[in-house]
Amino acid sequence: MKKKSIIRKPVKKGNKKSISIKARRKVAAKAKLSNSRKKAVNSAAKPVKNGVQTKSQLETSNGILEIPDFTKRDIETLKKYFQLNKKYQKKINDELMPELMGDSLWGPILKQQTEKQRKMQQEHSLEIQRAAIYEGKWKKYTEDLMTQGVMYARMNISYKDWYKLIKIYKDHLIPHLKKDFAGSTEEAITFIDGLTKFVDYAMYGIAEAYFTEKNNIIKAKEERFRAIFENSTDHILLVDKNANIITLNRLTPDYKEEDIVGKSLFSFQHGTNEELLKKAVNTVLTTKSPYVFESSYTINGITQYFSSSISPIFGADEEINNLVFISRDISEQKRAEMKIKEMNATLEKKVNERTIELKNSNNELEQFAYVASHDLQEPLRTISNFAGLFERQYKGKLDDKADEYLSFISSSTTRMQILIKDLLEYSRIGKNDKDMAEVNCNQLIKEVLNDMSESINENKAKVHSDALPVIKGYAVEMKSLFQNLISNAIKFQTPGAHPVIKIKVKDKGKEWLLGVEDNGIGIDKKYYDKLFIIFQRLHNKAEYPGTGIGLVQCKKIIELHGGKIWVDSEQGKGSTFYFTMPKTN
Amino acid sequence: MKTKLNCILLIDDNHADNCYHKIIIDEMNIAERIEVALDGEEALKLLSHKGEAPPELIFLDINMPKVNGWEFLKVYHELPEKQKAKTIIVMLSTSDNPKDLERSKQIKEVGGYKVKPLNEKMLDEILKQHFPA
Repeated sequence: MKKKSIIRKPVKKGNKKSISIKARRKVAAKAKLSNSRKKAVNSAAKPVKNGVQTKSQLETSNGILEIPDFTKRDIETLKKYFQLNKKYQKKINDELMPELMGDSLWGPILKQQTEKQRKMQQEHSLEIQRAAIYEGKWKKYTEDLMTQGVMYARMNISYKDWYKLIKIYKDHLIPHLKKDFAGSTEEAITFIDGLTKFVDYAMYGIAEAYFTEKNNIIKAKEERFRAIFENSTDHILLVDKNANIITLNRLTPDYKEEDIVGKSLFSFQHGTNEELLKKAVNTVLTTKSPYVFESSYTINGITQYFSSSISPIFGADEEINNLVFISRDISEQKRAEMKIKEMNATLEKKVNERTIELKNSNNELEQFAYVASHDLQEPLRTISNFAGLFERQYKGKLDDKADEYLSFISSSTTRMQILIKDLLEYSRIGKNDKDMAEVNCNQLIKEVLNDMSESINENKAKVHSDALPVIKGYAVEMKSLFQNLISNAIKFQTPGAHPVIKIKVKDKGKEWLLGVEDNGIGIDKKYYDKLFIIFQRLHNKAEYPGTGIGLVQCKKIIELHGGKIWVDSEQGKGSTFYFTMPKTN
Repeated sequence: MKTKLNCILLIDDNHADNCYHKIIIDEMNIAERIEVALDGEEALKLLSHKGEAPPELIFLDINMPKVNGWEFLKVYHELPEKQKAKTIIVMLSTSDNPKDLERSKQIKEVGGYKVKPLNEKMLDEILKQHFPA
């Protein structure tokens, strides 16, 4: 029986080894260890609960302990021992306690209990001892021994440490016994015989329970790890540092375990994959840290993809002992990824094609607008010319009706000429051959105000401008932008009011924010969207003349520069047209 | 006393425009003679007639079949200076495209750029600028 325990011992050692996978993990494991010790200490403080828990386990291992055949003489000896023990216990305790309290392991454990609790426990175990010796209740005594063994195992106390405790007690007891038996050698021999039997029995009982429980704990732990290892969908291989396979979690149908264990990991790879793996192993050995890589295998035209990692396992000397190779089949993921990539590429291609198509059709449309408006100008001019000539030469010479008809022809022709001119201007935006250049907006405003001086004076308008930036843009278009916005600000006024116009600027980091503010009639919010639609007018022609193309032109100019335009207005309280201009174009 | 030119040449393929411009010029009574060429080629032929004095003022359209305005100017440029000395060319086009205006400014022989139709004010300005009394 004892042999069995000893055989299991190396398992415990092995367990310790796996704890020190890495220096870092070692520290973590130590913290864990002390944690579980604390837990054990806590449970030690509740001896009753512990006793209940261990009982069932005791029953399973019952029968292991055979109660020795104590002779009558032995019992007499034990009674004597019990009396002596009882006699010296307080004295020994007083001597022992300071030493134990200072012990790095036992000190903290003992300090968990109050003196009263300790006393009660001592009295309890003394009573159990008494009942065994005097009344033959050895079963209860055995149970108590085994409970102690299980408790030490759960507290993760080493057998050596526990033995230390016994030795300290023994070292203190022996001198007293020596004194009491100094007189008679025969009596001493009898006493020692009986006591040896008793102590052997006690020590054996505790050890048996201790190692059984230790094994149970290790087994449970190992089972958990084994479950994880064996049930993982990943391929996990433990290899030594020469890449020879020690163990693995799953076998493929083509291999038996003996075909793989002991073989080199590289012998299952070919070509680039073998090189990849060799490189990975070498990297882990030199860098002493994990290495992650991807590989693929094509068998019968089907490609499988794997994501693999190799991690070092460190021994107690902090040198690499073994390596863990973990490989995961990511074929499905990879195929999905590739499909997405492929779809993205197709989509992008389609978008590009559509963009080109749109650009072309847009260009065609603009070209059409340009040609149409350009070519319409000529016949229209002829109509206008001769209508004018006719008016000049024949007005008043025909009847009133003729004069009226002629005036309709003239005014409609004039209006159509303006419309076409605006349309032509609109389609010409961005068709300048000139490149973007540094445009000083202050200079631009100066020119615009100069060009518009007649209208400004006529309407008694006041224009204030912030110090404006130098921007990168198209000078002709930018000028037309300001001209449009300022002329709108003057035009849309209550009759008789004097326009006050402010040109504002804010530095927004990557772009400039500009605003043209007026004190005009304002715009109802519900019409905001209509403002930037071509030929869309919000007012009666007689009230506020125009073609309804000015703001559309502004929008096109700003978009040409990569900016945005919007309005903020309240009816009757004026409007501010904001637009952004990127600093780099 | 108003300036009266000897000859004004209209180079334009548009009959209606020619007719209208002729009327305007006539009404102002500023030229003895108004000649018309329907394209650049015809105009160049007309200008090469020796013995006849060249026109003092030419109104040149841009868009014309065969030889357009720009092409006409290229050939005209090659004519001897003596022949060109007394002639002013004013572009007269439908186009108010700034590009065309810019281009015309690069040509030495061009003395002005006007957008159709001609009117009295325009003619007055041209005469004042190029033919002061």
